[in-house]
Amino acid sequence: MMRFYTLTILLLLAMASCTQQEEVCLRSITNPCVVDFYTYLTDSTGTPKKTLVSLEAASLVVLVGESADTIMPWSTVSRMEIPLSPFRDSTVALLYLDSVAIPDSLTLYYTREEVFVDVACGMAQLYHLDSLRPSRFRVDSALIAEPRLQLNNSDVNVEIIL
Amino acid sequence: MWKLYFSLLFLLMGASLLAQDTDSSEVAEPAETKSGDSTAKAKKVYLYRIGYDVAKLVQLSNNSGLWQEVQLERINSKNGIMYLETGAGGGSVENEVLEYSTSGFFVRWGLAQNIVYRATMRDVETASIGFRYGGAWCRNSEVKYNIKDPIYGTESLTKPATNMYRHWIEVSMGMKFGLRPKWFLGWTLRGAYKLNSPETTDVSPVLIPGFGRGDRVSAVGFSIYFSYLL
Repeated sequence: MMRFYTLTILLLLAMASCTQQEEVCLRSITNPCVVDFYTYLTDSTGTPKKTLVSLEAASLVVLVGESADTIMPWSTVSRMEIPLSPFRDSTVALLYLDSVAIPDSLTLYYTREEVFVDVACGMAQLYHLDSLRPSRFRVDSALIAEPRLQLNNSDVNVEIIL
Repeated sequence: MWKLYFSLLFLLMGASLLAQDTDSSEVAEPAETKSGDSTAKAKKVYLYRIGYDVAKLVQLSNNSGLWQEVQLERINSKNGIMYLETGAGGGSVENEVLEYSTSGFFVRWGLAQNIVYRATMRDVETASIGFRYGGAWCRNSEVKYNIKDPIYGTESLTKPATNMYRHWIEVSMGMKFGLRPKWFLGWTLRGAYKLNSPETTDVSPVLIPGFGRGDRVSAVGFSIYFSYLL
């Protein structure tokens, strides 16, 4: 009886071990720079308070080489996700805010680190924001809130004050 | 570097234990007889069995990688089993983001306890539970890889060939039964956990011989040993 069980288990496991592994990347390996927009509103006591704003008809353009690539138009938005170039140490984004025809530019400077994800997904880039340079058309100021951009980043990395 | 010393310590510990023991079927110290006591102490006998993992031949259809392995077992009179396993192999990957191969060899050492009754010393049909420690020396070829971005396009890059050491612990269970006098067939199922920290900047081996996929932290292994009692 012991031999019967042994042979049965042996056969089942041998069949299971022959299954082919699928090499499909099932993970998202993007990590865009998350930007939130704020403005200062005075409360009833007259104290200025940082408040998240909703922008209408906003859109984002990033510069890819010498051409511009429109990423996405939004109807109402208080947050944008700027894809960083994995091949350069800086990315220039043009922010069209509140239907204004002249965009603000935001240049992000960062260092890159390649990391191995797995055999199916290959290598991905992690970023560390070093500095930024906004234009001052519609934008009042900008600061780095979280410099590290991990895989599947959802932290707010940059705060822009309008 | 300390991981390497730690690993070598484990492996040398196994080798030294093997070296300390007497040869196959060799009797230990002569039995002492007390005055008036005609019975001698039980003789300490070790039996050795060598095996080859035929399951790896079945798994040839799996093109992600393969290794071959042999096993040396030492079974003592108290149903303790010591294993020393070694082998070599490798694998390769070629997809739209990665292209490289890995080759290497491994050594596993472990202890197990036989849990079935043995009628005689030469009866070595066993069912065992135990643990093992394994280490593999691997070499990755030059890695060609693509970084793909939906907006910025694709860039092809390379990384130079690298050598690396990976080690793991595993729990195992298995059975062996006799086919003919001195010839045995059996299976071993093992769950392994890699002790190296997760891969980050290094490209992991495609396959760690003796363990499994290099980009996984844990692995389940299965072997079918065809063994001969020395």
